[in-house]
Amino acid sequence: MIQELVFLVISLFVIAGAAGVVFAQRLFHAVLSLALCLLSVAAVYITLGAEFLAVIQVLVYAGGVVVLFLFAVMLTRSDLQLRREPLESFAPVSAVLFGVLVLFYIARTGFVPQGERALAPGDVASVGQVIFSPKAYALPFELVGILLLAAMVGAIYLARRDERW
Amino acid sequence: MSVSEAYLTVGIFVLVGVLFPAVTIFVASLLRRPAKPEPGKYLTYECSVLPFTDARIQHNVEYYMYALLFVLFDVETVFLYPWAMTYRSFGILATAEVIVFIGILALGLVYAWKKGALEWMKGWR
Repeated sequence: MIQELVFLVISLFVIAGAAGVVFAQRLFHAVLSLALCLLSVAAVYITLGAEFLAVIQVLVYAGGVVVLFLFAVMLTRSDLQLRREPLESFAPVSAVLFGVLVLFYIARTGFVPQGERALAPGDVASVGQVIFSPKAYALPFELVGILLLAAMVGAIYLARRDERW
Repeated sequence: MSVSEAYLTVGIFVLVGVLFPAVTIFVASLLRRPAKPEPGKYLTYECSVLPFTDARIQHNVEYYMYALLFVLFDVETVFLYPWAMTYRSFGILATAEVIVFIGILALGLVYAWKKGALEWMKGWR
């Protein structure tokens, strides 16, 4: 009972944030609504017992990606930051199509709420135990480091200001 | 105690954090002076030089470079956090693994430094 109540309250925040992203007149407000939406999704992960996922959600999405979006908005000309048309004309069509798709898959899979116990332990310490256990994921872990390095070099190269580099 | 119950404290903290400014602003609105709007009052500096552009200027690309690097080191933190929670149980091997990982990413920082991505405002535009 109390779990459903908590879920409903958090869902309201998720939906409010998502609606704010779509309907906000200023792009800056849309990004702030996105932050609210992403933080509320992190709260959903917490109620499912997926603590590590929630940490990633807050650190990377609500933290890093939203900061990236905010800076991208700050880089655009200020007269482009106002939304002239609230919605594109084909937006309702795509919304209805997406809704039908989601309902179709929910009906197909027999959607049943699993609750917290059905999931593997998702707290940060258990994830660390899996990642860093000897000889388990040492090579993939370092490969992730190289992938991040490649992303970093690529980002610096693409965002450079002048052609002298 | 399950994970979600342990986060009840966080929930209460968030609730207080949201309510505190809301209540403060509401109480302040009860105590404020009577509202007499006038265009001069809405200027950025009421008693100074008149503003001649919009305050929302186009910002420099340097901000975006910092944001890009921040996201990447943010992802690095995601991997360091579980290590910090468990390094006692694995000892030197996992620590060496993480030091190599940080070393690889430090190369990225060296690259950014060399390319001048961290330099601010090379000449005023």
